[in-house]
Amino acid sequence: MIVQEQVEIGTKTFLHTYSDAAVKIEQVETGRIYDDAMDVIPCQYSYVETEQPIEPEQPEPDEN
Amino acid sequence: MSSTIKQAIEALKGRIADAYTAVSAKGGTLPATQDSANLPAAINSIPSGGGGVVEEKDINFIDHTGTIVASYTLAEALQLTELPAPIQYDGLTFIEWQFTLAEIQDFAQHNTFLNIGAYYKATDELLHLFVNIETDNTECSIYLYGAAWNSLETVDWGDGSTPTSVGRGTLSHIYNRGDYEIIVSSDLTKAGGMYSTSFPSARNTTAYCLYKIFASPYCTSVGGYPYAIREIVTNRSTSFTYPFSLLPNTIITPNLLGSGGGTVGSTKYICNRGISSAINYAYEGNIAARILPPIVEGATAVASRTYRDCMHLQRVVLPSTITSISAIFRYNYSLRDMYIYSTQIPTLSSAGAITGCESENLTIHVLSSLYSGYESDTNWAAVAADSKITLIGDL
Repeated sequence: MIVQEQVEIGTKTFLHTYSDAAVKIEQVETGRIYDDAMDVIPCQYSYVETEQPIEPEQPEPDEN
Repeated sequence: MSSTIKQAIEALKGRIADAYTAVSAKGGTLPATQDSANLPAAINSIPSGGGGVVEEKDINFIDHTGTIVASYTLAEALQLTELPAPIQYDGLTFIEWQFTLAEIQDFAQHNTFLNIGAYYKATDELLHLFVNIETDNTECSIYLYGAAWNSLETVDWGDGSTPTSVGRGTLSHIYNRGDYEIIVSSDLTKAGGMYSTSFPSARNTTAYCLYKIFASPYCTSVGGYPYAIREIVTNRSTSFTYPFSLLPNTIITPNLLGSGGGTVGSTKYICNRGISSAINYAYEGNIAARILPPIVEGATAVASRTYRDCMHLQRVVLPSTITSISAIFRYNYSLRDMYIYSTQIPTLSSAGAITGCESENLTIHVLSSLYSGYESDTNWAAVAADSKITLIGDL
């Protein structure tokens, strides 16, 4: 499912879009693929989930 | 009488040559023409107060021993009219620097820091392995994969024993502790050759050979020290660990580096002609290098984790052909500048792909014509809003 929430970075507010299924998302209007997207508000784009999983973070060597 | 004069001139020439050798050993820059007229300038080029060690700058000329032969700022590099003379080594013939003057100045023009390797070949055009065996009764082996396919190859083990001749296959030899020079005779210029070697207790192993070697994982067993290889060609998915670390003329092809990171570990000077296409984890885990090889023009993507954990990396320059950037950074505390020459705003997979570098003071330089687009583009706008990052359109 696509999740959207507002976040503040510096003095600006952005719309943060991501998938709660940890898959990449597609920006419908452009076809661009993102892990997650930060857009200025008002956001001009809509997003859908893809089937591409986001590469998971791997543990540091000394964490093994 | 004329004979005496001739002898005196020859002696004088010899002393001039000796003087240039001393200049080189002290870290001075040698001119292309090493005559008496150029000697004062060469002597003046010896760095003062540095014990003869050439200080690392933006553009560094480095040979296979890790010696910085000459170094320049970007501005100085743009003024060069010739490349520095290399250090001469017994048994090796200098071929060329891995970049031409025109290429170097193009990189300098594009704000790119660069380590430039020297390419030498063994003067006798044979493969020389210099090994130090630390333990008596050590069995070592060389796998002759067939550099000259089915041709007779001879291995001189360097310990006075009778040389071994073989077409291809694995040769083993028992050594006692000591230093040895192993010489393999074959036509190494022919394709198909790969020598894998195993020296279990060897240290400081160095191999000199020439031209093409097909990458193989087995060569990692040569004590972790570099082969001098002109070109690596491979499509194997293999971890070609340390040996390329000081190679002068290598464009890293996809999969060459393998996966899992740490492929260049703590190597301070990595000399190759750069990454030609997206390779995941290319330099991940290098904790020593301030300068890493360039992403070459034509590459369209910078792959995941390319610069992760490169703690001393100062600068990244992306060519005009780059169209996408993924999570390439993390723990890049020393990163100060990122130059993006892309002629279209590259897709940034996530704002964290850049903000994850954890630099306290990063400036991102982009084409002035695209600057306003970055400020509103997905993810780039968030990068620009980060208080630790400055985005400027000065290219």
